[in-house]
Amino acid sequence: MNPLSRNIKIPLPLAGAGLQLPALLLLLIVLLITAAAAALMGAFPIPALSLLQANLTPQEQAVLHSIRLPRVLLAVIVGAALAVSGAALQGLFRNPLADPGLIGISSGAALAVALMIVIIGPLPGILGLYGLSIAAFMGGLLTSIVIFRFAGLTGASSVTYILLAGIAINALASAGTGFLAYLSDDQELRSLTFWTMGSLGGALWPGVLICASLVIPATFVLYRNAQRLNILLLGESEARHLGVDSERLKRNIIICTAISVGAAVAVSGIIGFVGLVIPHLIRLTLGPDHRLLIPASALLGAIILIIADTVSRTLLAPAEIPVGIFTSLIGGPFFLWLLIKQYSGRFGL
Amino acid sequence: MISVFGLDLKSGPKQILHNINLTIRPGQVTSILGPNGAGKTSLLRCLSGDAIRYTGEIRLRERPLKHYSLAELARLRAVLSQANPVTFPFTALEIVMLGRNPYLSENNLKRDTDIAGHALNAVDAWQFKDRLFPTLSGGEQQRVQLARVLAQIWEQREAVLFLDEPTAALDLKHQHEILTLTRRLAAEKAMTVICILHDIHLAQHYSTEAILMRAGAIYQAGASDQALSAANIQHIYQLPDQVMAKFHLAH
Repeated sequence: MNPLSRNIKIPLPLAGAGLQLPALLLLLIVLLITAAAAALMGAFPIPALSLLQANLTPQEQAVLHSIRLPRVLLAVIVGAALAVSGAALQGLFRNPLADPGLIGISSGAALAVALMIVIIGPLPGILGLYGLSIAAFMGGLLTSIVIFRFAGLTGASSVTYILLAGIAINALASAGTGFLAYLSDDQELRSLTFWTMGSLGGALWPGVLICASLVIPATFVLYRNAQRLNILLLGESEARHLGVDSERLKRNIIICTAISVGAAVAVSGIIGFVGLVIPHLIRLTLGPDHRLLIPASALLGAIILIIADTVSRTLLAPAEIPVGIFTSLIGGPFFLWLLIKQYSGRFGL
Repeated sequence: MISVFGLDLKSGPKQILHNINLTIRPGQVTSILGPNGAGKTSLLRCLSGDAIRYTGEIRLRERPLKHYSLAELARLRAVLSQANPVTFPFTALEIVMLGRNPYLSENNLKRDTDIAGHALNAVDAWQFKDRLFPTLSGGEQQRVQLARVLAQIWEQREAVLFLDEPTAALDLKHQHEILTLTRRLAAEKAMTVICILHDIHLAQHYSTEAILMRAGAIYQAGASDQALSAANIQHIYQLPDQVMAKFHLAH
């Protein structure tokens, strides 16, 4: 028998055919429902019926427009930014344990923001918001480069070293932030605490728009590189053999994730574990193909952060628990579970 | 056709390859042999376009290798490295489909999937196409990666296939099947197969040409039955007589 021309029936692989669109549509519908529900819930509930009948009191309108909508939208943007960055970083490091928070990118960005607040002081208006975003981006980028150089020295698959480097960077950054807190006055101290806890409580329209103007293009570029990320999972020289310029790809991924994480940190502080948990759930259910993983992570990240934020502001209403505490509460055990699974070698993690 | 003129490769002050001159013809299976550290993998990395800081010239199809773009090379040559870890839960078929990346812009999913299936079948790995790659054994992973590499140049004539110790993780049966396959590919698709091997007997049976290397230089290159003589083997590996007596080399 001739092994090169034997006739065989070959089904199309899942990601290429059917499953992709329905899964994304389903996630989109869930996102819309969650967002609508979250906009109505809170210390000042808005009845769904009066919204549907377009029969809102002026007070209800004001709450919806100036408080709830920007907040829900910010949750969407930040959740998507963190989840997509996590997915892209995991592809870049070829390891499912990479997360912007764990490896120190978020805290690098937060340290830069803290420096900006304490040393330079708050800049007014739009310029100030962009200033914080740029500072966060620079901090995040610098941390990414340090970690990536480090990963290159020790071999990219050596996740132990990446995570240990993350511990060192997180410790350095929190020492820096702590020192700045020591130097700062009461007003600055409040802002600093806010960065390190992670909260969407400061959501205002300008912040939402600025964050969106950075996150959407960065996410789009990451999505455009999805197939190249798939190829990169084979290894850097393998990617080159298959026609992918891996140096350029790595540069693009690092810059785009730093922009996304920086923009998210600048408006919401450090919200941990979203970038770790979300891509995992997608991989478990829809597979590791980045062409599906990136958009699906964006949608699920948005959904989960809306839910976490809504819980955090309604549980003890009118008081608010910072949402970062919730995500860590769920993410910490999840991370431990992943470690145990990696140890037992299932899923090859 | 690959031609090499006066190839030198340095790593820092250390001379890795020294004045390599070669012609490798299509339709042949060329094996590269030599002791550890002789420069076999470095030569392979130069020929496949991985290492670029060499002096001298390498020509692929009469054109300098350095003038090819990554995308052009991706359709002309494929490389199977020694270690191919993938930690993400792709299925075997999805891994092989990644080999079709150079043709993705042609948007022909049906054809690419067919080719991936044929490639899996050729390396006797069709039966675990739906298994997750990280759960396969070392030898099974090696065969799936070979299928990916074959899928990359499946429809090309006179493509170049680089294999760095392709039989290292394979059992005896699959060693022979895979090397028989390389002979078929060379014959049927006029493929240039360049293959680092450590097993002299496999090299004798399956390669038509052999390159013997020692200390970063070519000791002898030519038809494998002549190059792989007992005297040459003894010399490049510096084997004592009592070890040579245990070999049964064809003369």
